[in-house]
Amino acid sequence: MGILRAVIYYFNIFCMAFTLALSFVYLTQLLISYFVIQKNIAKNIAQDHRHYISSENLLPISIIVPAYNEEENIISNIYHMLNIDYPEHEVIVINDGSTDSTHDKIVSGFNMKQIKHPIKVSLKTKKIRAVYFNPQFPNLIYIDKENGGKSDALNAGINASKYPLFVCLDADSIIERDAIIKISTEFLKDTKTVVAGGFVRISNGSVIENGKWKRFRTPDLAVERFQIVEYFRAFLAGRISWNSSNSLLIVSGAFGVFNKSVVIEAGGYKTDTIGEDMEIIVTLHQYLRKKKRKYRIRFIEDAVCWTQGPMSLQDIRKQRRRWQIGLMDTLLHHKSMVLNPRYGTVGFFSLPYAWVFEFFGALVESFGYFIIPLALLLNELSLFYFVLYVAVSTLLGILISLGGLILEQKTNKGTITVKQAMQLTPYAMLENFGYRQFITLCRVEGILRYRSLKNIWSKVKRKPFDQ
Amino acid sequence: MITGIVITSIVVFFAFFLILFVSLYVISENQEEIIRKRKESLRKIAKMLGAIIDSPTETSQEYEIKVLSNYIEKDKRNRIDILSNILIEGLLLEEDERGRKVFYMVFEQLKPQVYYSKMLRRGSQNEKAYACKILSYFYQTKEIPEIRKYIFDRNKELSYNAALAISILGDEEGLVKLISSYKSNYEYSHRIILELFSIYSGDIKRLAIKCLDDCNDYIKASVFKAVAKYKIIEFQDMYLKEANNKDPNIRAASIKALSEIGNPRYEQAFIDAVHDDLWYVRSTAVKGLGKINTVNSRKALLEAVQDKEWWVRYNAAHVIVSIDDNMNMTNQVLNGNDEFAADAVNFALQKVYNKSAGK
Repeated sequence: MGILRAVIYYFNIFCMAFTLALSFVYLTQLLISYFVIQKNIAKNIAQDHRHYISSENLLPISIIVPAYNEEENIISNIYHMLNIDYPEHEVIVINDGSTDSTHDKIVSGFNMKQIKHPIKVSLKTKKIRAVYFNPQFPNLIYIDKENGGKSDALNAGINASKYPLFVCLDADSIIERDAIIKISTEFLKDTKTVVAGGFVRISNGSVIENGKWKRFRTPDLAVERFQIVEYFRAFLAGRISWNSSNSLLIVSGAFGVFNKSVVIEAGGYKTDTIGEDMEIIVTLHQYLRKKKRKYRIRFIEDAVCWTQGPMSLQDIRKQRRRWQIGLMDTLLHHKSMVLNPRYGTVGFFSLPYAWVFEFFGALVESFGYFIIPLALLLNELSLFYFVLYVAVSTLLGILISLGGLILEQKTNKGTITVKQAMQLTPYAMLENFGYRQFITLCRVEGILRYRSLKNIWSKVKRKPFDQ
Repeated sequence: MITGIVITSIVVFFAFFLILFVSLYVISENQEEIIRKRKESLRKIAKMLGAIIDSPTETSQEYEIKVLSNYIEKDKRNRIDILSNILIEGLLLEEDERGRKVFYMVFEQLKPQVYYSKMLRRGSQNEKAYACKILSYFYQTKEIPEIRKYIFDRNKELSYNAALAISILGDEEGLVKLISSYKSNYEYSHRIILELFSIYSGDIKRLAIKCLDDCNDYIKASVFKAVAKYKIIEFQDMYLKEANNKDPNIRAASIKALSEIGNPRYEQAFIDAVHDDLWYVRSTAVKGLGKINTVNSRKALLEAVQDKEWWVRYNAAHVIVSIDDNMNMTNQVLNGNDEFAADAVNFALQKVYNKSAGK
């Protein structure tokens, strides 16, 4: 009994220290991001992306859109892609063996005809069933292939693409018209840039017309509002701070621009993972650092992509479980990089951070939910310290969540009005009372069911954007 | 004791939340106010410019300009910027002669360039960068010496904007110095050199000659690519000579430049290049072969469409399909033994002409 009490006592202290440490890490990220955003705003006054709209000298780009059961939005999204502000681009849509009407909608929507399209196979993929084309849409190629997962579809898109840069874009996402131009100029200004990702925001509730994002509107459901707050924190605090030390571990699968030849050199997307967005970035870090090549993986907060977040707790559960499995997969696959001096800041900071706080963090946090009250019940923790801990951790949680909102407002985009920011404020607070715990448990479920769900892409429900 | 802790915690909690809430509110309100003010100023300035254009007499026009000037003076920092952007767009894009004249008159009388000249000298690094941009759009050539000071600045945004500005302003000396400095600086893509050439307002040929005067292979290849579209005949001998350079980028750039000119005199250079070891030199040569469209070049194209590299086959097929009016070459490939070549041509046919021609 004495040993059990000792275990509970020490584990309780560990859990408390761990969760507080995590909050302080987030707080540090917020502070770093605040100063970076401040600096970027000053820098942006001289940026003139529109100068390049009519220029021949931007790197031409292939927009790769993998689609699996995306019948709701695929047509309007393709039209939107075809009309983005970019001088030279092609859109490659890959139907990854959809079981709904995605294929029929694309073929009839664009009056596509099957053509014999020889493809340079730089990366192995599942069988391509057919390639479709309509000369009326000379920038659009549609590929119908056997189901092989998102990574396989992306690899097929890379093979079919003809330009040196490619954008990986989810079929349920909408990019702002000038988003790609903002990112691709980074490749011109710094040849070391191999990947650049944009700021992914939740589109739920927003006004979207003909596949174009028009204005922000606060969504009706609480789960959607929680996600908005959460995305601000993740992108504006997490990504910006990691970006400043060139140790970003993920560029969102919803929107990222890649140097094609480097991705091919590194072997393309790994097909046996469902966390392809993190996997490809860590693979590139590993490959380029091994080769001792100078490179940059960037996050550009000014380039915005709007994506539909899950609309039910059930779908959030599926999504977060999948993300956790993807994280675990990547961390295990690249475990040799951890604390290896060859991998610099990635090996010494971002990967250990991901192991400790993103992977074990979910476990420790959820154990804490049981151990800390148990310690209180067994008198191994005084009520004073218990209340103090709950108060401090909750206050830190709220500070971090509100910090995300403050950062969003600092980005100077004027996307969210004062009223809307105020509407979201209670959710930044309430997020710490149930939602955060729910997300942690979903992540733990991902860890526990890693083996059984490792290769299953649990699709979440979407609705047409224009509704 | 416990009640005390709980009450203190609740008070601290709410005080803390209140501080955060107020901070967020202040920041949001501030941002919204900036955007609202800007929209309002934009609307008013556009209206005032409209009033100037519609003024029936010179006196009333003078009066309206005075009104605009007073309005700008009240919040110069923001409003001069809005006015400048409207003027730049108006001076460049306004099709109506009267409208353009009015824009010019406003520019002459309000002198927004003076504000940016001061900014260029006294502003922060980022403001200087912005001033470089606006002054170049206003074509303020007298600012060249000042802008040139910043082309090697350590602040990237400033040096980049200064580089674009001297190019727009046609500063040959500054640009030659700048491009020469890229010999040892590979941070920028070579496409920046191409961009500097394409926005240069001076004599492109002279600039190219000066840049080529003292350059390395990287600059030479970049300059060749940049001036290729200008089809400078005087450079053809240099291109022909450099088509055999040991550096593949120079070979490809020379062939690209010769392809743009497209003189049958270059036939042998293209035929040699289509047998180059490097695929991108071969791929570039294919375009030149199509352009000159001679008997020998057609033969070389039929060889190129059977190249081991996908991209060479792809480009050759497109060229064949686009020049082959009587379908002789196309049918020859489609009926030949090389399945990959036939696939490439079939694809080009379907993609370019929406025609299907199976084997």
